[in-house]
Amino acid sequence: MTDREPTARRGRLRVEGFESSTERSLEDDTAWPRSVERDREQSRTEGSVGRSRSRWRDIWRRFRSDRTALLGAAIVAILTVLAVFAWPLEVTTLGYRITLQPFALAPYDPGELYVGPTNAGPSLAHPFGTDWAGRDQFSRVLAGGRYSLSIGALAVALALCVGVPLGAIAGYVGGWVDEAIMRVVDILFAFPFLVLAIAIVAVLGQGYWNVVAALVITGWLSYARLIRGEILSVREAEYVTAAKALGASDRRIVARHVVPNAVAPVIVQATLNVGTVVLAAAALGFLGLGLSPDSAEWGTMLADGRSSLLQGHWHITVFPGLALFAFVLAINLVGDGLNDALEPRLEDGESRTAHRGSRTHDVERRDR
Amino acid sequence: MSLGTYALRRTLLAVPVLVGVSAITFSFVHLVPGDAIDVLAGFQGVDPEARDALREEYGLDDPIWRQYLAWVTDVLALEFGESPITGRDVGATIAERLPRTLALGVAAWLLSLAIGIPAGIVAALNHGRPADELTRLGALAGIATPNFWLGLVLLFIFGVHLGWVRVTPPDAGLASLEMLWFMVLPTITLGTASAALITRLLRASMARELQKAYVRTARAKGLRERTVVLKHVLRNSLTAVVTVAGLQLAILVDGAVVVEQVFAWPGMGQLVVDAVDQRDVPLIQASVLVIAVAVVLANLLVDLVYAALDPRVRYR
Amino acid sequence: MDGSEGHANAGTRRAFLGWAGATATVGLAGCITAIEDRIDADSEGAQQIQRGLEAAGIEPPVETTIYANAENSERVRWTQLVQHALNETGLFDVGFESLEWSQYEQLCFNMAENEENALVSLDVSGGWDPHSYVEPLFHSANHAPAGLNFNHFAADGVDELIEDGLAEDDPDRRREIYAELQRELVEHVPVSPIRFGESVTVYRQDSIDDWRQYPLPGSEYESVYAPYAGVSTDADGGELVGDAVAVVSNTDPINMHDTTSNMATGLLYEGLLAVDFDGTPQPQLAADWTQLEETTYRFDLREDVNFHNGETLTAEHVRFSLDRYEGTPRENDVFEWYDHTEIVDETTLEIHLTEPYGPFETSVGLPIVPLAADEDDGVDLSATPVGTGPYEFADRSDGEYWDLERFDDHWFDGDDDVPAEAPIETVRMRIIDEPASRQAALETGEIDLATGVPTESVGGFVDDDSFAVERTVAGQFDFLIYPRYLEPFDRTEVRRGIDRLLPRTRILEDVYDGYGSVAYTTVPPLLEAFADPDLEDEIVAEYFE
Repeated sequence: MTDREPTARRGRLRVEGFESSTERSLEDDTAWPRSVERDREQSRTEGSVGRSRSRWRDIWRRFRSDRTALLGAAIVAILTVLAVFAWPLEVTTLGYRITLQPFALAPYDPGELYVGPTNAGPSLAHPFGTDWAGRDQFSRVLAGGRYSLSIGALAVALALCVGVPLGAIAGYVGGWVDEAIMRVVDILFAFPFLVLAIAIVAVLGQGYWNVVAALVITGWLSYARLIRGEILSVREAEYVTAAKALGASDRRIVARHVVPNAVAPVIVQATLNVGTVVLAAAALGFLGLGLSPDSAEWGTMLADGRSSLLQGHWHITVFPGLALFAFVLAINLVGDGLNDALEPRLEDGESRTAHRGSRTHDVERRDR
Repeated sequence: MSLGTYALRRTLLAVPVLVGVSAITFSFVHLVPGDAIDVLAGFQGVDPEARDALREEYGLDDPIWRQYLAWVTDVLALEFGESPITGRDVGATIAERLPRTLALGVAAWLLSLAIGIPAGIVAALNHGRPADELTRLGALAGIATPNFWLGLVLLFIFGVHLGWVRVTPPDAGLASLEMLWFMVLPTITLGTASAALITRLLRASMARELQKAYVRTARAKGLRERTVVLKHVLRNSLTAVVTVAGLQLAILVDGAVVVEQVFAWPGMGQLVVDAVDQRDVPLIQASVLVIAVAVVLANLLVDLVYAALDPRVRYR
Repeated sequence: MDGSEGHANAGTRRAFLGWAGATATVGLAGCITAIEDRIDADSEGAQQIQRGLEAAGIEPPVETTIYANAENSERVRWTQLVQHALNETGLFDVGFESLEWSQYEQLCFNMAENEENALVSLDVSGGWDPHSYVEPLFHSANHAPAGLNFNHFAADGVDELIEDGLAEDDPDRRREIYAELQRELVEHVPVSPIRFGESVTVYRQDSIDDWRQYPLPGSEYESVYAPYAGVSTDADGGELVGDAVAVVSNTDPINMHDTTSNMATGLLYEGLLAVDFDGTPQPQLAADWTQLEETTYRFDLREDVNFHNGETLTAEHVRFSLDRYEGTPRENDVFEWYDHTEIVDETTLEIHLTEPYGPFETSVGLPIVPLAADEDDGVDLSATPVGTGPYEFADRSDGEYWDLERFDDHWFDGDDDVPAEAPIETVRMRIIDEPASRQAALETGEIDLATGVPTESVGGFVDDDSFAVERTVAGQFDFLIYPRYLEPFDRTEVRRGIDRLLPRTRILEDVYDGYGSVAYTTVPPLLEAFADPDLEDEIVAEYFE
């Protein structure tokens, strides 16, 4: 199946970055090729030109003018802030309690039982109502973002840590190393994600880190494939050939040309994957294989209250469901926006919208 | 490279993948914590005599590669053995469940095409306009909705509240009208994400296709827009939809695991979950293997179809 | 799982650990802001724990984890309440974890060997004799993983009392022994009983007449037609559609290990004796029986009893059915008491026991199966069970349904209470995993009756006139297991302090909506002869007030 990759992926690329942190890290690598576009059909291989920061300004400008993407970014930002500041974050070790984050936006301790009556509908005191043990749903939904968001971020980050190096090695070294790595990817790809995750959780047991592990084991595959494909195509690009001819070392070529180009599409995919991973964790929770049922993770809350619709306690699942929906939708909007912002052809207004999503589908199709 | 050579090469490439898939599946017995005999006996506390019999039957004293070969030989003959929990033939159990998941999967796939293709066309032809934005947001919403939640809500509204459909499968044949009616909700639940995927895919690939020179030429030549779009652009864009068929299969299986749980649909997804609950390892092995092989074969088929449609593929 | 309670209409002695929870025990969270259980570090329980910790030289908080299995949502909830109650004292730092059943099972069975720092929650259901609850859990011969004595509790007095109770067949004397045993167990606190369960069936009034709930989990459908107990039920159109909470996995009595399979075959198999809805042994396949000696019972079989496959019941069938347990997963159902069967004539036999066995009459009613089960190409009981019962196996589809149809050749000739022919012609148990779907199916009329309605939902049916809710105390209780092999849980004082802190009332109200009753001892009130309210009061007064 890897065989097909270059074809299926031909002419697709994705780029990254609106966050200042990404920008900073890339500023060090001044070699941001002007053309992120490598559609070979259009043979636009101007080479490693335009290392300018104006590129980033362009990207930011384009992203900024995309209202839905901004909305998505705002929702993600708000949910993240709410999650972080919902309740104090403390670490207790060796008898000391270290408060990392002292603020509490949530009106109640999300884990505290009987702060109100049980199964009460929304009221002034409890805007989202309370659950079976009288816990405040509003506080739980706020704090619940911590689990969902951190699982999403962690699982994707770790999957990147595994998938990107392996994919890069496969793509750059080639030969039997490539064959071996990609065969492993193919084999694991044959197992649908949830089926594999169920099997993994059945072996490892439940819990936060096990869920993350299951998501990583099934998540790195797409990055490996993606980065390998990118590298294969960059390797053939004229500017790389030229650099080689000029006697640039492999290391230099990788650092200055291959990495910046290949990293960009990965980041778009990673953004979108955060959404998928959050949904996947929720599905595991629904099957009773996710986090421990007392945790305020949105999917687990949904699973815990799944009989409640029939019992007339609609509020128990509606609010965490909406939070989950809003977050995944928002992160997808951001991903789409990034895609467009990083798409050079966007410059002519016509094709701009036309290409929205061309990366994302590519991204999604390798999600599982 | 001729299509035949390509097909042969591509098929041969699937062999190591199948070997790997079977090796992983085989290793479940040894990965699950506990003595392999207990695992195979379904943790039923059997007496020493039966243990010895099991040890003999599965050749547990043999080197691992021989155990694997013996297992693969059986599997190739579609001999999956007996479940230690139910005492029933594993192959027969799967044969009972597989058509259910296939039916649901095919229905969901057809639905996703029926929604995704027109929506994708409309979006691509109207890009930048509200219809496009709406389609895009709709597709994103489809992706962002947790399928189990969607299933429960649909079940509650249309099954319990309005009483339009049953909440559990009727006692009727798979092809009966009653059953088809019941399948509407699970199909929608399962097909939503796939439909969203196809919409986005088709919209993007059509938009790209519309930019190409031949379209401008065709338009310049005065061909009717309808002809241009349907005869040329759509045809070329649909190959992109074909390429994701294999991936969609995996997505549908994932969805089925959850959707079957919600709608009490006795398919492979439910079988896997039940088997994990009961620690019925031979059944887990067989069902996971069947699913994985189906995915591998689907991908193989997709590549061959794709190669037949687009000769350029063969040379890459 | 290691044990189901065997064939419950016969009430075998083997205990069963409940895992799906929804089988029969039901409750619902009400809107009660109960404060009465609120405790603080000054409470008697906390002080007891504190004293224990001081004596052990342990500085609070004590770290530990409380576990539940994810499939059982009530258990997941009540353990959270226990966690909360312990943490509130400031003496403990209890984490909470839920495991998938297979892992959970491993944890429970190996907790003592691995010295797990774990508080473990389970429920056990047994038969009609207290022995079936106390012996597996507390006798030192039953240490896990071989038995259900998970935390390797051992006390001489307890072992002796268990053995005495088993060997005694005078009812009054047995009552005294088990009362004494309860006192001993409360004194030692190896585990804490939390709540006695209730069996609840919800059914549609318009389609079912007179449903009676059999109290033991796994025997939910006895009410359909139980001539031995004078009970039968009619359903609209002669068809009954009910629910099953899991797939029917193995229906051969010697391999049967789950309540669903047991439930699915309750109307299909019959035994020599059967225990009626009140716990009294009644003749079923035996027309009469007498105890010849302490260890010998004579049974006269009914004549003209036919198996579904055409065989006619003889003494040989009984011998065959009991003998074949040897070396099987359910060996202990029989070989704890069984020595051999002596065939006197075609319809008379004597069962010889290895030693006197008190609960014999509630244990002997194991399924009698046809001789064809012995042959290689005969009947495969694990998939297509054959018995003598009023219903025979008709059809099955794993994950969908389990069908029974009336066996027209059933031996019963009818009496004042029960007609000769079962009023219900076909019984279908629809397998519905998802609790919410079971409730929805009942509400929409797709099933007439549900034995596994989610705990929180029963209240809604009680208020609805078109449904009837049938409830009865069950032979089941929830309990908490202490890691008594570990400091500080090795101290009786600490365990008793925790026992006192357990929010039993709150669990009953908020998790089970008042279904069931709080438990302080290990003999369910179902066993009327043995459950003594005065004893319970006495224990509460001494240890809990």
